[in-house]
Amino acid sequence: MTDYSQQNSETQRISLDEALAHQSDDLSIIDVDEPCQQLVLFRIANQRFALPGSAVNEILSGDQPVYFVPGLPASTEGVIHLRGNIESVITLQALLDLPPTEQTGMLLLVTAAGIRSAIRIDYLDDVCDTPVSALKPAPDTLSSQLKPYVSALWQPETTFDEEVSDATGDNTEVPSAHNRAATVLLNPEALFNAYQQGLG
Amino acid sequence: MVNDAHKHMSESTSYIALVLFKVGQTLAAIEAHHVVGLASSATMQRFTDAECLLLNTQDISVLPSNWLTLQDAQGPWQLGVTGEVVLTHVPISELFPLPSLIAARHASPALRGMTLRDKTLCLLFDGAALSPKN
Repeated sequence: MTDYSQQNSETQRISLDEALAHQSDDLSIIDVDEPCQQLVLFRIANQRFALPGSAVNEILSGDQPVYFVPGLPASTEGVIHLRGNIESVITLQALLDLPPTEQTGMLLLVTAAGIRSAIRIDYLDDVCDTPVSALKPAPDTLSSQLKPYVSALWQPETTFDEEVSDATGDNTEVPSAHNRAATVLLNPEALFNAYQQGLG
Repeated sequence: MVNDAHKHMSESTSYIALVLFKVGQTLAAIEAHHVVGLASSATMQRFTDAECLLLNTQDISVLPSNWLTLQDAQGPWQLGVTGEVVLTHVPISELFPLPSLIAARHASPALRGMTLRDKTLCLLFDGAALSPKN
Protein backbone atom coordinates (compact mmCIF):
# COMPACT_ATOMS: atom_id res chain seq x y z
CA MET A 1 0.00 0.00 0.00
CA THR A 2 1.36 3.37 -0.93
CA ASP A 3 1.24 6.26 1.53
CA TYR A 4 0.28 9.43 -0.35
CA SER A 5 0.14 11.59 2.74
CA GLN A 6 3.64 12.91 2.24
CA GLN A 7 3.44 13.38 -1.54
CA ASN A 8 2.24 16.94 -1.60
CA SER A 9 2.38 19.03 1.49
CA GLU A 10 0.54 21.89 -0.36
CA THR A 11 -2.54 19.74 -0.86
CA GLN A 12 -2.80 18.89 2.78
CA ARG A 13 -3.16 22.56 3.75
CA ILE A 14 -6.44 23.03 1.83
CA SER A 15 -9.53 22.15 3.81
CA LEU A 16 -12.55 20.54 2.26
CA ASP A 17 -14.58 23.77 2.53
CA GLU A 18 -11.85 25.71 0.81
CA ALA A 19 -11.58 23.12 -1.90
CA LEU A 20 -15.31 23.17 -2.50
CA ALA A 21 -15.35 26.94 -2.52
CA HIS A 22 -12.55 26.93 -5.03
CA GLN A 23 -14.45 24.55 -7.22
CA SER A 24 -17.57 26.65 -6.84
CA ASP A 25 -15.66 29.74 -8.02
CA ASP A 26 -14.42 27.81 -10.99
CA LEU A 27 -17.98 26.97 -11.96
CA SER A 28 -19.22 30.57 -11.75
CA ILE A 29 -20.35 32.09 -15.03
CA ILE A 30 -18.23 34.97 -16.24
CA ASP A 31 -20.12 37.55 -18.25
CA VAL A 32 -17.90 38.49 -21.14
CA ASP A 33 -20.53 40.54 -22.98
CA GLU A 34 -19.51 44.11 -23.61
CA PRO A 35 -21.80 46.77 -22.23
CA CYS A 36 -24.00 47.98 -25.07
CA GLN A 37 -26.13 51.01 -25.75
CA GLN A 38 -29.24 50.88 -27.87
CA LEU A 39 -29.20 53.46 -30.63
CA VAL A 40 -31.93 54.69 -32.97
CA LEU A 41 -30.16 55.46 -36.24
CA PHE A 42 -31.67 57.95 -38.66
CA ARG A 43 -30.88 60.54 -41.27
CA ILE A 44 -31.69 64.22 -41.61
CA ALA A 45 -30.56 66.12 -44.71
CA ASN A 46 -28.47 63.08 -45.76
CA GLN A 47 -26.46 63.16 -42.54
CA ARG A 48 -26.42 60.21 -40.19
CA PHE A 49 -27.51 60.72 -36.61
CA ALA A 50 -28.47 58.58 -33.65
CA LEU A 51 -30.34 59.05 -30.42
CA PRO A 52 -30.08 56.81 -27.37
CA GLY A 53 -32.80 54.19 -27.50
CA SER A 54 -33.58 54.96 -23.85
CA ALA A 55 -34.74 58.45 -24.88
CA VAL A 56 -36.92 57.34 -27.80
CA ASN A 57 -40.35 56.32 -26.52
CA GLU A 58 -41.95 55.62 -29.85
CA ILE A 59 -41.37 55.70 -33.59
CA LEU A 60 -44.35 57.12 -35.44
CA SER A 61 -45.35 57.34 -39.06
CA GLY A 62 -44.41 60.69 -40.55
CA ASP A 63 -47.84 61.27 -42.07
CA GLN A 64 -49.55 61.93 -38.73
CA PRO A 65 -51.81 64.97 -39.06
CA VAL A 66 -49.92 67.92 -37.61
CA TYR A 67 -51.95 70.87 -36.31
CA PHE A 68 -50.21 74.12 -37.15
CA VAL A 69 -49.79 76.51 -34.21
CA PRO A 70 -49.21 80.12 -35.27
CA GLY A 71 -46.85 82.24 -33.20
CA LEU A 72 -44.03 79.68 -33.13
CA PRO A 73 -40.64 79.56 -34.90
CA ALA A 74 -40.42 77.61 -38.16
CA SER A 75 -38.58 74.81 -36.35
CA THR A 76 -41.84 73.95 -34.59
CA GLU A 77 -44.17 72.28 -37.05
CA GLY A 78 -47.06 72.20 -34.62
CA VAL A 79 -48.68 69.53 -32.50
CA ILE A 80 -50.03 66.02 -32.98
CA HIS A 81 -52.92 64.39 -31.14
CA LEU A 82 -51.53 61.09 -29.92
CA ARG A 83 -53.84 58.81 -27.95
CA GLY A 84 -55.41 61.54 -25.87
CA ASN A 85 -52.31 63.69 -25.52
CA ILE A 86 -50.98 66.65 -27.43
CA GLU A 87 -47.30 66.42 -28.37
CA SER A 88 -45.16 69.08 -30.01
CA VAL A 89 -43.44 68.33 -33.32
CA ILE A 90 -40.08 69.96 -33.95
CA THR A 91 -37.42 69.79 -36.63
CA LEU A 92 -33.69 69.89 -35.90
CA GLN A 93 -32.48 71.48 -39.13
CA ALA A 94 -32.24 75.02 -37.75
CA LEU A 95 -30.60 73.93 -34.49
CA LEU A 96 -28.02 71.71 -36.23
CA ASP A 97 -27.46 74.09 -39.15
CA LEU A 98 -28.73 71.60 -41.73
CA PRO A 99 -30.49 72.45 -44.99
CA PRO A 100 -34.28 72.13 -44.97
CA THR A 101 -35.75 68.92 -46.37
CA GLU A 102 -39.13 68.10 -47.84
CA GLN A 103 -39.29 64.53 -46.52
CA THR A 104 -42.35 63.45 -44.57
CA GLY A 105 -40.08 60.80 -43.07
CA MET A 106 -40.96 59.63 -39.61
CA LEU A 107 -41.44 61.02 -36.13
CA LEU A 108 -39.43 60.00 -33.08
CA LEU A 109 -41.22 60.64 -29.80
CA VAL A 110 -38.36 61.61 -27.51
CA THR A 111 -38.26 62.27 -23.76
CA ALA A 112 -35.28 64.07 -22.26
CA ALA A 113 -34.65 66.73 -19.62
CA GLY A 114 -38.23 66.26 -18.43
CA ILE A 115 -39.53 67.29 -21.86
CA ARG A 116 -41.34 65.15 -24.40
CA SER A 117 -41.61 66.06 -28.06
CA ALA A 118 -41.75 64.45 -31.44
CA ILE A 119 -38.75 65.07 -33.70
CA ARG A 120 -39.15 64.76 -37.45
CA ILE A 121 -36.47 62.73 -39.25
CA ASP A 122 -36.03 62.03 -42.97
CA TYR A 123 -35.27 58.29 -42.79
CA LEU A 124 -35.16 55.72 -40.03
CA ASP A 125 -32.14 53.49 -40.69
CA ASP A 126 -32.05 51.04 -37.82
CA VAL A 127 -32.43 50.38 -34.13
CA CYS A 128 -29.38 48.50 -32.88
CA ASP A 129 -27.28 47.66 -29.84
CA THR A 130 -23.80 49.12 -30.10
CA PRO A 131 -20.85 48.32 -27.80
CA VAL A 132 -20.17 51.35 -25.63
CA SER A 133 -16.47 50.96 -26.46
CA ALA A 134 -17.30 51.66 -30.12
CA LEU A 135 -18.57 55.13 -29.26
CA LYS A 136 -15.81 57.70 -29.60
CA PRO A 137 -15.66 61.23 -28.20
CA ALA A 138 -16.77 63.99 -30.53
CA PRO A 139 -13.72 65.27 -32.45
CA ASP A 140 -12.65 68.90 -32.36
CA THR A 141 -13.25 69.10 -36.10
CA LEU A 142 -17.03 69.00 -35.64
CA SER A 143 -18.76 72.23 -36.55
CA SER A 144 -19.32 74.60 -33.66
CA GLN A 145 -23.04 74.56 -34.46
CA LEU A 146 -23.24 70.79 -34.07
CA LYS A 147 -20.75 70.17 -31.27
CA PRO A 148 -22.86 71.25 -28.26
CA TYR A 149 -25.44 68.58 -29.12
CA VAL A 150 -23.10 65.64 -29.82
CA SER A 151 -22.31 63.13 -27.10
CA ALA A 152 -20.29 60.67 -29.22
CA LEU A 153 -19.36 59.56 -32.70
CA TRP A 154 -19.88 56.03 -33.95
CA GLN A 155 -17.96 54.67 -36.92
CA PRO A 156 -19.54 51.35 -37.91
CA GLU A 157 -16.90 48.64 -38.42
CA THR A 158 -19.09 46.71 -40.85
CA THR A 159 -21.79 48.14 -43.01
CA PHE A 160 -24.99 46.54 -44.13
CA ASP A 161 -23.45 45.98 -47.57
CA GLU A 162 -20.45 44.23 -46.05
CA GLU A 163 -22.64 41.97 -43.94
CA VAL A 164 -24.64 40.96 -47.02
CA SER A 165 -21.41 40.45 -48.94
CA ASP A 166 -19.98 38.22 -46.17
CA ALA A 167 -23.16 36.21 -45.96
CA THR A 168 -23.29 35.53 -49.69
CA GLY A 169 -19.57 35.01 -50.11
CA ASP A 170 -19.55 37.68 -52.74
CA ASN A 171 -16.51 39.83 -52.07
CA THR A 172 -16.80 41.99 -55.13
CA GLU A 173 -18.94 44.68 -53.51
CA VAL A 174 -16.91 47.41 -51.87
CA PRO A 175 -18.75 49.57 -49.34
CA SER A 176 -18.93 53.15 -50.41
CA ALA A 177 -17.59 56.03 -48.37
CA HIS A 178 -21.20 57.07 -47.80
CA ASN A 179 -22.01 53.75 -46.17
CA ARG A 180 -19.01 54.07 -43.91
CA ALA A 181 -19.96 57.59 -42.84
CA ALA A 182 -19.76 58.17 -39.12
CA THR A 183 -22.95 58.45 -37.17
CA VAL A 184 -23.34 61.36 -34.79
CA LEU A 185 -24.87 60.39 -31.46
CA LEU A 186 -26.98 63.34 -30.37
CA ASN A 187 -27.57 64.34 -26.77
CA PRO A 188 -31.35 64.71 -26.43
CA GLU A 189 -31.10 66.71 -23.20
CA ALA A 190 -28.83 69.26 -24.86
CA LEU A 191 -31.15 69.48 -27.87
CA PHE A 192 -34.28 70.12 -25.81
CA ASN A 193 -32.55 72.51 -23.41
CA ALA A 194 -31.21 74.55 -26.31
CA TYR A 195 -34.56 74.56 -28.05
CA GLN A 196 -36.28 75.66 -24.85
CA GLN A 197 -33.79 78.50 -24.49
CA GLY A 198 -34.79 79.85 -27.89
CA LEU A 199 -32.13 78.34 -30.14
CA GLY A 200 -33.13 76.73 -33.42
CA MET B 1 -72.92 85.81 -29.36
CA VAL B 2 -74.13 82.28 -30.03
CA ASN B 3 -74.76 80.26 -26.87
CA ASP B 4 -74.53 76.49 -27.14
CA ALA B 5 -74.00 76.11 -23.39
CA HIS B 6 -77.21 74.11 -23.00
CA LYS B 7 -75.62 71.19 -24.80
CA HIS B 8 -73.25 70.20 -22.00
CA MET B 9 -74.65 71.30 -18.69
CA SER B 10 -75.46 67.97 -17.06
CA GLU B 11 -72.25 67.89 -14.98
CA SER B 12 -71.23 71.51 -14.47
CA THR B 13 -68.03 70.66 -12.58
CA SER B 14 -66.67 68.65 -15.51
CA TYR B 15 -66.92 71.47 -18.00
CA ILE B 16 -65.30 74.83 -18.46
CA ALA B 17 -67.09 77.80 -20.04
CA LEU B 18 -65.13 79.22 -22.95
CA VAL B 19 -65.71 82.05 -25.39
CA LEU B 20 -64.57 80.85 -28.81
CA PHE B 21 -63.49 83.19 -31.58
CA LYS B 22 -61.05 83.34 -34.46
CA VAL B 23 -57.67 85.04 -34.58
CA GLY B 24 -57.08 85.39 -38.31
CA GLN B 25 -57.62 81.81 -39.46
CA THR B 26 -56.88 80.27 -36.05
CA LEU B 27 -59.53 79.15 -33.57
CA ALA B 28 -58.92 80.51 -30.07
CA ALA B 29 -60.72 80.75 -26.75
CA ILE B 30 -60.72 82.62 -23.46
CA GLU B 31 -62.42 81.55 -20.26
CA ALA B 32 -65.90 83.05 -20.32
CA HIS B 33 -65.66 84.80 -16.95
CA HIS B 34 -62.90 87.05 -18.34
CA VAL B 35 -65.19 88.34 -21.09
CA VAL B 36 -67.46 91.07 -19.74
CA GLY B 37 -68.91 92.37 -22.98
CA LEU B 38 -69.22 92.08 -26.75
CA ALA B 39 -69.54 94.84 -29.35
CA SER B 40 -69.43 95.09 -33.13
CA SER B 41 -67.00 98.01 -33.07
CA ALA B 42 -64.20 99.38 -30.94
CA THR B 43 -65.71 101.97 -28.66
CA MET B 44 -63.15 102.16 -25.86
CA GLN B 45 -59.90 104.10 -25.68
CA ARG B 46 -57.90 100.96 -25.03
CA PHE B 47 -58.19 98.27 -27.70
CA THR B 48 -56.03 95.97 -29.75
CA ASP B 49 -56.31 93.31 -32.43
CA ALA B 50 -56.12 89.69 -31.30
CA GLU B 51 -53.85 88.67 -34.17
CA CYS B 52 -51.17 91.14 -33.11
CA LEU B 53 -51.58 90.52 -29.40
CA LEU B 54 -51.97 86.73 -29.30
CA LEU B 55 -49.85 85.66 -32.26
CA ASN B 56 -47.41 88.57 -32.31
CA THR B 57 -47.95 89.23 -36.02
CA GLN B 58 -47.00 92.57 -37.56
CA ASP B 59 -49.95 92.74 -39.92
CA ILE B 60 -53.48 91.54 -39.48
CA SER B 61 -54.78 89.15 -42.15
CA VAL B 62 -58.47 89.62 -41.35
CA LEU B 63 -60.10 92.75 -39.96
CA PRO B 64 -61.84 92.28 -36.60
CA SER B 65 -65.56 91.70 -36.85
CA ASN B 66 -66.27 91.57 -33.13
CA TRP B 67 -64.79 93.23 -30.06
CA LEU B 68 -64.63 91.39 -26.74
CA THR B 69 -64.45 93.49 -23.60
CA LEU B 70 -61.86 92.26 -21.10
CA GLN B 71 -60.57 93.73 -17.84
CA ASP B 72 -57.05 94.34 -16.63
CA ALA B 73 -55.59 96.40 -13.78
CA GLN B 74 -56.22 99.63 -15.70
CA GLY B 75 -59.86 98.81 -16.40
CA PRO B 76 -61.83 97.53 -19.39
CA TRP B 77 -60.35 97.23 -22.86
CA GLN B 78 -61.41 95.66 -26.15
CA LEU B 79 -59.91 92.75 -28.08
CA GLY B 80 -60.70 92.64 -31.80
CA VAL B 81 -61.48 89.14 -33.02
CA THR B 82 -62.75 87.60 -36.25
CA GLY B 83 -65.46 85.06 -37.01
CA GLU B 84 -68.42 84.10 -34.93
CA VAL B 85 -68.12 84.52 -31.15
CA VAL B 86 -69.48 81.42 -29.39
CA LEU B 87 -70.02 80.66 -25.71
CA THR B 88 -69.50 76.95 -25.17
CA HIS B 89 -68.78 74.46 -22.41
CA VAL B 90 -65.88 72.12 -23.05
CA PRO B 91 -65.33 68.96 -20.98
CA ILE B 92 -62.21 69.30 -18.84
CA SER B 93 -61.05 65.96 -20.21
CA GLU B 94 -60.79 67.57 -23.65
CA LEU B 95 -58.40 70.29 -22.50
CA PHE B 96 -54.71 69.66 -23.12
CA PRO B 97 -51.92 71.36 -21.21
CA LEU B 98 -49.35 73.08 -23.36
CA PRO B 99 -46.38 70.88 -24.38
CA SER B 100 -43.21 72.24 -22.72
CA LEU B 101 -41.48 73.24 -25.94
CA ILE B 102 -44.56 75.07 -27.21
CA ALA B 103 -44.86 76.95 -23.90
CA ALA B 104 -41.20 77.93 -24.10
CA ARG B 105 -41.29 79.21 -27.66
CA HIS B 106 -44.75 80.64 -28.28
CA ALA B 107 -44.99 84.35 -28.94
CA SER B 108 -47.69 84.85 -26.33
CA PRO B 109 -47.03 84.09 -22.65
CA ALA B 110 -50.82 84.05 -22.22
CA LEU B 111 -51.16 80.78 -24.19
CA ARG B 112 -52.10 78.15 -21.62
CA GLY B 113 -53.41 75.09 -23.44
CA MET B 114 -55.23 73.60 -26.39
CA THR B 115 -58.35 71.72 -27.24
CA LEU B 116 -59.74 70.14 -30.39
CA ARG B 117 -63.09 71.27 -31.78
CA ASP B 118 -64.31 69.14 -34.69
CA LYS B 119 -60.73 68.23 -35.62
CA THR B 120 -59.71 71.89 -35.49
CA LEU B 121 -57.07 73.00 -33.01
CA CYS B 122 -58.23 75.69 -30.60
CA LEU B 123 -55.68 77.72 -28.64
CA LEU B 124 -56.65 78.53 -25.04
CA PHE B 125 -55.49 81.90 -23.73
CA ASP B 126 -55.55 83.21 -20.17
CA GLY B 127 -57.73 86.32 -20.24
CA ALA B 128 -56.18 87.56 -16.99
CA ALA B 129 -52.72 87.57 -18.58
CA LEU B 130 -53.78 89.77 -21.51
CA SER B 131 -53.41 93.52 -21.80
CA PRO B 132 -53.38 95.78 -24.84
CA LYS B 133 -49.92 96.84 -25.93
CA ASN B 134 -49.18 100.51 -25.38
